[in-house]
Amino acid sequence: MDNGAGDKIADKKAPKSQPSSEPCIANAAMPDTENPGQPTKPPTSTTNTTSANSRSLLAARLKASKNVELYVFEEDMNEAQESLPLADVASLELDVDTQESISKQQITFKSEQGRLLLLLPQASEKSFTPTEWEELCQQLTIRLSSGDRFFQPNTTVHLIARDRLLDSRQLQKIDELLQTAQLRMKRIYTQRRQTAVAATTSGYSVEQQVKLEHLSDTDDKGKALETPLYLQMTLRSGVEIRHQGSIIVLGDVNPGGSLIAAGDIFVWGRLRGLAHAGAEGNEDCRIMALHMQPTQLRIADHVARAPEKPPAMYQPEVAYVNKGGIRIAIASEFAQIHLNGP
Amino acid sequence: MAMNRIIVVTSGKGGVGKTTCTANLGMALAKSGKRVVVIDADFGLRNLDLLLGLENRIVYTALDVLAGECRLDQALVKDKRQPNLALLPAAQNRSKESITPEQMKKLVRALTKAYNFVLIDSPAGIEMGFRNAIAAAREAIIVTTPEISAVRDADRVIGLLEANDIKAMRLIINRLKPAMVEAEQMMSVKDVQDILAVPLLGVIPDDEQVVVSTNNGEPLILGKELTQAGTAVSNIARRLQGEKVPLMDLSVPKDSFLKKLRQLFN
Ligand SMILES: Nc1ncnc2c1ncn2[C@@H]1O[C@H](COP(=O)(O)OP(=O)(O)O)[C@@H](O)[C@H]1O
Ligand SMILES: [Mg+2]
Repeated sequence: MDNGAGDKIADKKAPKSQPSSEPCIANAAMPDTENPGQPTKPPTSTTNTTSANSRSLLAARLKASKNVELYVFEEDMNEAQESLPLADVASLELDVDTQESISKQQITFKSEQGRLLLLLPQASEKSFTPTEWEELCQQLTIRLSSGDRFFQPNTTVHLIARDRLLDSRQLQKIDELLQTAQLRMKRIYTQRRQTAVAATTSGYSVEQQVKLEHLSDTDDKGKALETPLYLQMTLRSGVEIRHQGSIIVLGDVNPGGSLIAAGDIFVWGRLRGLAHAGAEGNEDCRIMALHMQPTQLRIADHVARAPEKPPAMYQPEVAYVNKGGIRIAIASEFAQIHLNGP
Repeated sequence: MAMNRIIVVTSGKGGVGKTTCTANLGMALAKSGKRVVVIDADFGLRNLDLLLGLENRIVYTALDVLAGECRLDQALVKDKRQPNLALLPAAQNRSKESITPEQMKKLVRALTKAYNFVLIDSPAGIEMGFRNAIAAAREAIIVTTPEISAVRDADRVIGLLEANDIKAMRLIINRLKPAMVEAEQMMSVKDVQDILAVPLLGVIPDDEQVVVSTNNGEPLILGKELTQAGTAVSNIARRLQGEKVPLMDLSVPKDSFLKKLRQLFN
């Protein structure tokens, strides 16, 4: 579908209804036009847009003159025409700060000996910005509502706050959200005295830690995957789920929604958004969907788009990586070839 | 004065055609041989990629660039149909507050080195997203429809742009329905200009083809046969480059109505 250089701009191509090639200005509601049927003259006025009061000048002119119908901008920008030699795009550089990548981390739930641990994401800023806090609450709400079938009522939750600063209002908000899934926040693990004080005054028990050594802190970057994340929800546009293990979705992933997993991805529904399996670099990871219609698939460093023409019928499919990149196979056949091998 | 043009496309009100104008204008400018980058500044509600049919090619977004996760050129999505055009996508999963005006300036400053035109598609509203969109701009295109509410919001935005020292402003009136104007059921071009008093860059008629092209991710400008709206946009692109192109005649041809009547009775 290449369409480009050949076409010239249809400057003179008049719309079908236009009787003459004479340029004219349409304004039927104009009361001052003497000869409504006749084409009027093209506008002759110019303006200096860079002057501060150009707007009011123009307004005055518009009001004063009966003949000025439309005020067409005429550029004084001819010096902008011959431009500097352009740099190569690849040479463009930017100084960056890596804070953004840290803030991509999400909250995680872990079960440990019958309790749930809620781990807050790490960040370079210790206290939450309003935006960050709002995003965190949204994430928590989504996680809680998409997994509430699996939460046993009255399970106690331990909040692993790491070195983040939380005030009592924020602690209560987390507690409130947890209660919507009938979970109860009981204990808070924190490295910050301030957070500990806020927690105690709000009536939670507190474990103040100098440095987290246990309780599955991810400081020592182990490569072991987390237990799979199981979600029952429709992932709508703008929702992104990241997980350090496999993700299973019971529901649809809409265009604009994305799943990013260190492990495999299973969508028991329609995958129309983006799925990235093996996001930490594992090419052996796979993406399966009952209805594979993704905007984009990624496995490790490979990227693939769905074929332009959708298939006549959807059936469960698997995306995997071979020498040629990402491939898609019908799930049942894939199982025969790749899973039951010697 | 720097040579290259940095233009924000903004309106105040949502749904008046900012994204449509950015996509089509970007394509038209690229087609005329200029190197163009369009930036989606609508973080969290990005659309520009859809209109350009580039959604499935996005790998990195502006935020990834700012976080140092990729180089700027890796985030730019090149348009296969028109190699002069590139898109810098917004992040869809983040809010408008996830980027600052300073960061926006940084991105745009880098891009101006490699592109003749930087077009910035602004989100609706006058909050953070708007502030980000205008932060780096030197010129503005105000898009409005001939409706009181849209014009009111445009007026507010013009004031804010002036306050932010963006003086080079031009107006696009979008979705004009000549028949309704003639029946005095819609504001005319002059009515709108009377209020806004910003030099007119062009008028785009209401055109069903716009919706079709939106849904297909095929900008109007790529069509073989330009529709009225397509011609209007391509004229706007030429005016933007200093050419004097007269406004199109959008009046309802008098005889066509009679013809229709006659057809009815035949
Ligand atoms: N000239 C036009 N004729 C018909 N429909 C239009 C026209 N311009 C825009 N639209 C439609 O209006 C809607 C909003 O346009 P969009 O560009 O997304 O607005 P914004 O970016 O200002 O929110 C889209 O559905 C688009 O197809
Ligand atoms: Mg838009």
